[in-house]
Amino acid sequence: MRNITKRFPGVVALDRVNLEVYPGTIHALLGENGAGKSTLVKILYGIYTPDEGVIILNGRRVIISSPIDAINYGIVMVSQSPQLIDRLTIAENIILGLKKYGYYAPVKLVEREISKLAEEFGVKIDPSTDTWKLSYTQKQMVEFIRAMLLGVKILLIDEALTYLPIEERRRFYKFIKGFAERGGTVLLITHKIPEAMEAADKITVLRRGRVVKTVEKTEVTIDDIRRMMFGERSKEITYERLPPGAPDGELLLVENLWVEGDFGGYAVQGVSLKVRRGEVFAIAGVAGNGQKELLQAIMGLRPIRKGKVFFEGEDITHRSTYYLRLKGVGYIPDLPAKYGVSIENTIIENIAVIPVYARGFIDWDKIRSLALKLIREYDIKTPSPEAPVKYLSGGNIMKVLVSRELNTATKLLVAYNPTRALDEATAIRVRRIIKNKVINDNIGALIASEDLDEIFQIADTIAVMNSGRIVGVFPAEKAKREEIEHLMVM
Amino acid sequence: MSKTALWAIIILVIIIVGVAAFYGGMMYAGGGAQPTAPAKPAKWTPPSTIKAAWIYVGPVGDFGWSYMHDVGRKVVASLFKDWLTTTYVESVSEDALPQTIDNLISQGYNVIFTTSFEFMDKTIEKGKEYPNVMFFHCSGYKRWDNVGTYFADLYQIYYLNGLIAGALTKTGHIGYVAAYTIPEVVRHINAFAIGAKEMGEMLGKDIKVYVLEIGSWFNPDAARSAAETLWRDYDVDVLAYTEDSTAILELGEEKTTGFFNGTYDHPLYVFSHYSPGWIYGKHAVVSGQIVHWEVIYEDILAKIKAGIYTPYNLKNVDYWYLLNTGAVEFGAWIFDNGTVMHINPEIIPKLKNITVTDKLTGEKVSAYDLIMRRYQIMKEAPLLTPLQLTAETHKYENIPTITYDGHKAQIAPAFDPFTGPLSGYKKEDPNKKVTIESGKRLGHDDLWGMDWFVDWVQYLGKGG
Amino acid sequence: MEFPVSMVIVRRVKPLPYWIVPLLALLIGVAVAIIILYGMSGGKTTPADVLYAIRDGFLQPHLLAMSFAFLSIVGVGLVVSFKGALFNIGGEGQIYFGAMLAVWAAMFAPFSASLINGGPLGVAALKTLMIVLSALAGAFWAFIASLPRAYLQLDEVPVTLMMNYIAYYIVDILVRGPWHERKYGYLRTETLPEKLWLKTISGTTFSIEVYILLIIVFVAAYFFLKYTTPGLYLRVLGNNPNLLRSSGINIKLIIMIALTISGLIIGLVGAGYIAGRTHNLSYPVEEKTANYGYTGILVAWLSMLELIAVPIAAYIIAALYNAGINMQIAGAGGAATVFVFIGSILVTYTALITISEYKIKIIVKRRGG
Repeated sequence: MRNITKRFPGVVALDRVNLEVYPGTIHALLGENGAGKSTLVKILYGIYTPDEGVIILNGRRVIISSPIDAINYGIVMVSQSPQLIDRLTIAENIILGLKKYGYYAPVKLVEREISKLAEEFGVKIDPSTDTWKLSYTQKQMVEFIRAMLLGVKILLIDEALTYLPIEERRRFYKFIKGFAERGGTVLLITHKIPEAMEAADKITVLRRGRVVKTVEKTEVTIDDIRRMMFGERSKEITYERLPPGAPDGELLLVENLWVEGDFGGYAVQGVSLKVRRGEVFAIAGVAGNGQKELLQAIMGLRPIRKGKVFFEGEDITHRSTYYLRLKGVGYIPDLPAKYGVSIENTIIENIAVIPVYARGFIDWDKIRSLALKLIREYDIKTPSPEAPVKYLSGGNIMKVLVSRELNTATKLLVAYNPTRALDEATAIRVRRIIKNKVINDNIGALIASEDLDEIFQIADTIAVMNSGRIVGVFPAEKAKREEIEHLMVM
Repeated sequence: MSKTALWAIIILVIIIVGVAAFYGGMMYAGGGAQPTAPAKPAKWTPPSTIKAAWIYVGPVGDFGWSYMHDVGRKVVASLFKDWLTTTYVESVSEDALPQTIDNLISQGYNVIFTTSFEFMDKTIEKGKEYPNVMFFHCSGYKRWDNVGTYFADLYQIYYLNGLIAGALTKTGHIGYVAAYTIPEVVRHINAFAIGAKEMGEMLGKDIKVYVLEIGSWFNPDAARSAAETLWRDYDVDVLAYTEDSTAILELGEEKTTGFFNGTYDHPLYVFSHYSPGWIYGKHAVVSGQIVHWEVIYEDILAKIKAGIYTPYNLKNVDYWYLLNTGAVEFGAWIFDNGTVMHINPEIIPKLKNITVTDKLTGEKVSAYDLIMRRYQIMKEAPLLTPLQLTAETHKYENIPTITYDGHKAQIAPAFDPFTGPLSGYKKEDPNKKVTIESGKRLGHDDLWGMDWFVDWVQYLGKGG
Repeated sequence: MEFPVSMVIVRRVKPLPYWIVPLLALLIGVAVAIIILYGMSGGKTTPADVLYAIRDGFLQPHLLAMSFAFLSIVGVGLVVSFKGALFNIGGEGQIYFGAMLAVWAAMFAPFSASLINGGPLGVAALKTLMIVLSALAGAFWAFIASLPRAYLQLDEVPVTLMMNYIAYYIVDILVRGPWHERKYGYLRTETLPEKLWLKTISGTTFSIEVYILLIIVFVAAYFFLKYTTPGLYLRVLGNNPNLLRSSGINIKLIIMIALTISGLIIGLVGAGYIAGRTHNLSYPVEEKTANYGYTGILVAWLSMLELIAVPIAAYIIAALYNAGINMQIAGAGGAATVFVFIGSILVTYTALITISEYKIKIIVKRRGG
């Protein structure tokens, strides 16, 4: 790719980017949120067309104006969210994308090929299984198999592995390494430096729409990459504990809480906890151990079957979310794009939707100046406060959510994985902001996270949640990582 | 607090401004749209080319009401092709009528026929709006300087049909499927029932006429199922109807041929309505009513061309055309040579074999002869036609004869079915009785607003 | 149940630009109509005839004024609910329920006679009352439909659709029964007293009263959607109800507010239709209706739910209806021409909107084959 430039209203997403990728290599494209990684990949896949620049494939200039073009050139993308149709079987889903079998695809033949490829993964899977029964990991595997059957030569992996558990991720690494050894090309897009270091041969770092440098993995250390990615800000990256808060007085009290999960049964089984003012109370745990349900129940988003919740001494057990919002409770849900923002609406609309900012009549000037303040403070990259959120990069969308909720939380912040979609530098910065807010404004924070680095960095008190119960509570300064890890998986 | 107040104020302001503007606008509109009386020109010159448009309530393919109006249109369009152009718009709802009229006038049409009762008020309204255009409304009673009315009525034909029905029925149960029970249809039901009773009584039958209303001018499915109900549940073997499709004729043919084959225990003889329907049931269709709207359209358009009708003198133009004008005919088919099949030839021998007494003369005659005598009497009433042209002369129409210098002159037919003694009940309130004294003949206005059934009609309500 | 063939609809990765769909729908729809009319007439209706009729249809604003205004009001009402992904198909019912109360107020209420004879002020008060009651009736009718949507998560489309028929039949019962005129026996109400008719400027269907209503509705709807929180929540509701939930917004309430306001606006047309168009109610209403409630859906779709585009879409639809009448007058086909126009555009639009966002694929299953 030569001199690729792409402008969006108000921003230059890519500025004369050059990228050379060779057959047989795994090439990582690294960059912080909004660096232009996704834009570049979307150009390669024909979703966007570049304003300037050319794409050269095997010495010939090509024009890719749609994903169909891209697939014809052997370029296939696997994205973060699986593009599968739930009511079809695996084989049927795969046939959909395949032209080589014609319109009357022989299901049997395809099923055989699927099984063969699945074995390469080291997984046995029945291709006639309905897709809705699959886990996220399995769905991503189906995506990879589809890519293979499409005859992929250049595989684009757009953060498709970033959220997988580490062991699963390693299996995929092995698989793409095999693919590369057979002469395939992989472009791995990620904002996680360890991921790039582990899987890639070559790394290109993008920053603010420009290529910083392309390096061989063996030539560099994590710190070098960090410097390339974040420039000056790389100095901020540290996993030291942030200054402790000064816990004082009880803010939120949860007593023997029982909450049902989505599929019946109790997801939360008699949880009791206490969050004080000036304290970050962090809940560590592997995903799916009731953290989500616990936080939702506290927020009034899920019915409480048994137990009580007190806020500032007041019984709020069956109070509405609206009531809590007006009391000054901020809430950062899991899966922000699904639960935390509306991407079709603008930034200011996404702010005004919180009842504390507008009731009845909306004063757009007031909302707008608040939006500008948040954009400045949190360095949200957007053309304007009136831009629809969908035009923002994933990390910036997260920043919109986090900044809004921190501003809303005048007394308590409830958060689930508040920094998951953020790059390292931004994530650490957000943690700092949360902690500063807790200390300076003397608010309480109840944060559940699957990231132990985050927990240790931010928490004053660490609780471990496992199978719907709190299995241990430790003051952060006394907590031991091994012990907590042990309690998480016990 | 202040924000809520602000909001309340804004809403209040909007409401106040809105209400003020509303009344302001209303007064403005009220003042501005006052219809001004058209200045009557000193001399009216008929347009050299008359552009006439017909507006139909149903589709021209209905083979009933709208179809026959369109036949009339085609006849005059060919006859007067030197100076007449025509067009039509079909399936126009009452709501769409004003816009349709506006469109027609914007395209230069200067004579407009609106052919449904529902169009009455809006035709008058548009007549006032376009004082130089001539309108003719079919079947209504409201007129204006430039809006005349016309109608060709079938009650005499229904009476003749009723005579046949009374002769043919075995069960004594006769049916009638009505679109609506408006006065026009009530009149036809009564005439049919009077004919049936007259003939049936002479033959010792107990005649009952069962009426089902379907609530639509054109609804083949409802018509068919209403007729089926009457045939099946009420043992009806002869049936007349008012509906614009041929569904009932086809049903009649099925039941009657089924009766001949022995499939059914009773037949269903039917009378075709409005257009010649014999071919839809060559065994079951015994007779029927045929309309010739061209008779009226010829008269109207010729008079417009001659300068007799102008947009300033239609206030009393009201056609009420009966059998003697040729606008309506007794029969089920018109042969290519122009002769009318009054009664199905398969039925004629049956009627000829029945002997009855003509109550007018006391003679013993065959049923067939009686029917044809009555037909002749009503067909030949030479002085009646000019009277039937204007609203002012309707009061003379029920005078059978006048005497001058000891001689008698025939005005209306010597016989009319609606002659007392008759007794019946109000449609709205069956407990209210209606009695017509012996010898009294009902006139135009009585017939026009008829809201009672004769006693042997049983209204079964809405069905189908 | 296993079907050998299964059709799957896949979302496009790259949707077509949104404004192009209504534009293309109009052009292709007209082209399709030309072909159909050419075929239907056996070659007698030439494309030129159709195009002239369309041109004339568009160039007669004085004839379109009222239907344009009614369609615009219905369109605005529908956009209010469609924005929240609440598909109010019940415009017809809301109009007729409104019309029913308007007729009641005008002719059958205890106060009707005294207000009509109470001088210009009395007439004005009665007219206003008709409009207000009509709007409230529409609101009430939509509110009822919103309850199962809000509390039982029942799809509002069939519910609102059913409510149309319930409204029709209630009106039918009244018109057949206690309200029907006695003088002539037709199943219809008496004609509305002439004082209560909407005044139109002579020779046109332009009524200043209707246009004031239209402007009020337009401004109020804009204000509601833009400057009030229920309006904002409504716009978010259509995109991501989860955000509303985690923001603490009562979604049930928003659903009820949205449908009720939608019905309130559409209900206005009920009084307008009686006072400006028919001047009576006539049995059976389901056959006599001008179908503004349904045509309005087309207007809302063609506007791509942009308030500002509603009048444009309404004008186009009103003009095409007019063109259909013109074509009949010109002798180019019967009553079906109108439906050919509207139908072709609707079908094209539906096809295009699907194609613009989705791809359709057909796969054949041959198990064990």
